[in-house]
Amino acid sequence: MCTKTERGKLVDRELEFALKEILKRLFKVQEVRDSDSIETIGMWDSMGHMELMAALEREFNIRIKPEDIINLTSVKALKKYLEERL
Amino acid sequence: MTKSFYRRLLNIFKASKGMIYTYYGEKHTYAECYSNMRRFNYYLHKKRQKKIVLYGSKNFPVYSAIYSIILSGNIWIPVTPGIPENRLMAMLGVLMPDVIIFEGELPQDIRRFCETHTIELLKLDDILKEKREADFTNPDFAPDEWAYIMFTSGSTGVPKGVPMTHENYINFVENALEILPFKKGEIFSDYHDFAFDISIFYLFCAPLTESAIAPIKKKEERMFPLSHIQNNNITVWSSVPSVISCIQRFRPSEKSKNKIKIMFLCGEPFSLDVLRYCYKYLDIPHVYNFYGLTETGVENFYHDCSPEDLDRYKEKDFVPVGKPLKKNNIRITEDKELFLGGCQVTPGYLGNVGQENFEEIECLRWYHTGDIVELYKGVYFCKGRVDSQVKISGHRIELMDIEVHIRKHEAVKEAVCFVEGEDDIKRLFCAIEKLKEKELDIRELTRWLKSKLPDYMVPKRFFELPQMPVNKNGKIDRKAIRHICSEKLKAIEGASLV
Repeated sequence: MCTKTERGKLVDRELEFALKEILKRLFKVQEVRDSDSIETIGMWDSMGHMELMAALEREFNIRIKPEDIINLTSVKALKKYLEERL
Repeated sequence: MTKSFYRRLLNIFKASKGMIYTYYGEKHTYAECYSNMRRFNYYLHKKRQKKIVLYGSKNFPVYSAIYSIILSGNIWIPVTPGIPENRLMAMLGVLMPDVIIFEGELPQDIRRFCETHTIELLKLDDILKEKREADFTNPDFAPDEWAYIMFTSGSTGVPKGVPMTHENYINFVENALEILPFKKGEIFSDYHDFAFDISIFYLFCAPLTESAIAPIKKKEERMFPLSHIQNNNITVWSSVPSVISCIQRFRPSEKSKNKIKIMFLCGEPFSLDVLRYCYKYLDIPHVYNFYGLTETGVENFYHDCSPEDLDRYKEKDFVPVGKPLKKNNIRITEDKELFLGGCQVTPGYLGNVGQENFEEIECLRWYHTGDIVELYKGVYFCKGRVDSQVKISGHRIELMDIEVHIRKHEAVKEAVCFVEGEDDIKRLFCAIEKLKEKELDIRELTRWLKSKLPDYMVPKRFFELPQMPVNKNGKIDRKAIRHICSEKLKAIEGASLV
């Protein structure tokens, strides 16, 4: 049986994987780095960002608040947000 | 027409009791604006037809400076801070301005340029602090004097300056005031940069209806304009349609509360899908599609949309550009290219470039727009370009303008740009062939390019090709390149998990 921390890590890793798959699919890139953001991935523009928000709401069955939308513009911020929300 | 237009404008600044600027809690009256204008006028009133660059953001005093420059009979040239320095330098080279009024700090190189060319530098804050003022005399400008200059993309990599006479743009503003059902005290959104000439719409229609302007200042606000619309109680919205389509992408089938009564869309193809969204989920009573070019005084065609359009034009999938505004003459060539004639046709580019697109026939000035139009059910539709220019987010761009810059990167041998995308969202892509001996990092290339070109001119995705395909004549085969790249895209989509 996993200890709590190990389980937490496992879930986080799955989460990261799922997030990166969404980013890859939406922004049509082969690889997503932890350091990536709206500044480093070309197709992650304002239109792409809205598509991303809609995709996250759908796939993770959450509702993102407008004030959060404008802050979730990097892989790091997204990971942190999802970890807290899920 | 010019005189009465400016007299009206000046009288409103002098007498209106209302608000002209609102940004969340920050509000400013016409009286405050006029007091600032008089301070700027202290420096401007002895000048006439001088080229005045205004390097500033969307803070309140900048608006006063714009009105002051124009009402003092000088020529306004908007520059947004953050513009890549070499681009600004190229613009200044074409322009040779007389004065630069700047907010905050000017980049060092620009300062040096001004010193070498004896361009007068005025710091916006200093002008306001000094409290010296000058009255505005009643504007008596000739219709063919210049009011402002905007820049568009040029194929050589140097932006082209388009001067605008009073008559050129006033005809558009008067048309807009007549067509749109404005009331006193509207709140106009100010979404785009001043340097995008849609700004003329709200900069003049707002004061002439004694209304307020609500700017978008931050990148984050621009990303999610719905908050701006709701928090500032916007009643008149103006933008390119893709901004609305952005809101639609996020909540495609959910009503979003807002107070917009008039929606002025322009600058790019406007799909019926976005129109449907405006009616069904935003409940906008009056939606308009405008069409025009910087070279022909902002907007020249308009269409007053109705819910029936969704059915009437469903074969076309797009909203028509409608019919010409008053005092706009049109001719359509055998190749379906639109020529626009009349008082809105501008004097031609600075520096005597591109004059072949302007001509005079029987005392009427005409401009060859390069746009293909088609008449369908009594209204005009815009069908694309006759040349290699492309339209992205309302900006008309020469692909060569971008390629020239990309080729300057040390690892790039060849670059070919093209536009891909669905109806509402067109994105700029680029195929790259790198120099064999060099390494190419796309992220680094993007960063490098962002320091050279405005954001909308930086390709959203690069495709590295081992070699550019060529046609029989040995010329680069743009069509084949597009095909290869779209296959590459499909391959990525197929490979990723859902």
